[in-house]
Amino acid sequence: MEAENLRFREVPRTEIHFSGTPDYESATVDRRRNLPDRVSKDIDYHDVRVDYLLTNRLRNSNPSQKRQRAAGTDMSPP
Amino acid sequence: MEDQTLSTAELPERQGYTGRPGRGGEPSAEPDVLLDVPQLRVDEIILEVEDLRAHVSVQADVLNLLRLSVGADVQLGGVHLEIKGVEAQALLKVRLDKVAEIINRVLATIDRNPEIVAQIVAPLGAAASELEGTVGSSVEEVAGAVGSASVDLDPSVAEMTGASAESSAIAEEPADAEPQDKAGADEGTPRGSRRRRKQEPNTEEAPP
Repeated sequence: MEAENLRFREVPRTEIHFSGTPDYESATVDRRRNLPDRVSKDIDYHDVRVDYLLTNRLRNSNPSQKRQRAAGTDMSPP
Repeated sequence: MEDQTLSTAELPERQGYTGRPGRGGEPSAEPDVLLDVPQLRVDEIILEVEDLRAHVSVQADVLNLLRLSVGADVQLGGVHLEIKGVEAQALLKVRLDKVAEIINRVLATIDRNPEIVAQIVAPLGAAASELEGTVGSSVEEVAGAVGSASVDLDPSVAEMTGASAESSAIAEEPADAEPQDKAGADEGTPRGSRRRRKQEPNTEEAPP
């Protein structure tokens, strides 16, 4: 997503959760241009770009494999 | 309305279809589900959202042998933003090769060992029988309780009916003054209806 101008009237509240049975492997990746991880309200951000990738997949529930979980409760906007 | 249902053989020939089934567990080059928004341009967006939730998931169950689910849940508790000169892209891909492969293996296992189904269904049948017995005895208990209550209730009902008849007689005393043929015509009509009909002329006669 690209935008010439972006302004948050409120600091957004966002959440993302992953689920999977019997087990899962998830990841999120984001790249930002001219946008901080935690945005502030009533500030103009110019020439913004955000690339956001979200993946989730079933996996073999082998305890020796390390789970890569990137779920969080503080995912910053957008 | 035209039937849009396509068979599996017809599906790949449909324009825009990009899915391709996996082959023997090999991951397919193309996803089974594809949602592609290649370019979206908007001059200005003013967005105010409260509690928007997006949920994407896949679930596959085969009896109680297999239970697979995988998904993602995105929640916007509150967003209020203004955005200008927007260009956006969105892409959703779902690959079901492994899910299909697992289900195939389960079904193949059942096919080779059909006694598995009997072993699964037998407990279900026993549970159903037990449930049926419970329901039957509960119904009998309720019926018995209703029967005994009705015995107790009968005198009360009789008393109430008698009292009601008396009070109705008092309340509808003017109705008894009606001609006998009209009373006969109203036989079986709820008393309330009779009284309402009697009240109608009174209403009409009321001064404006």
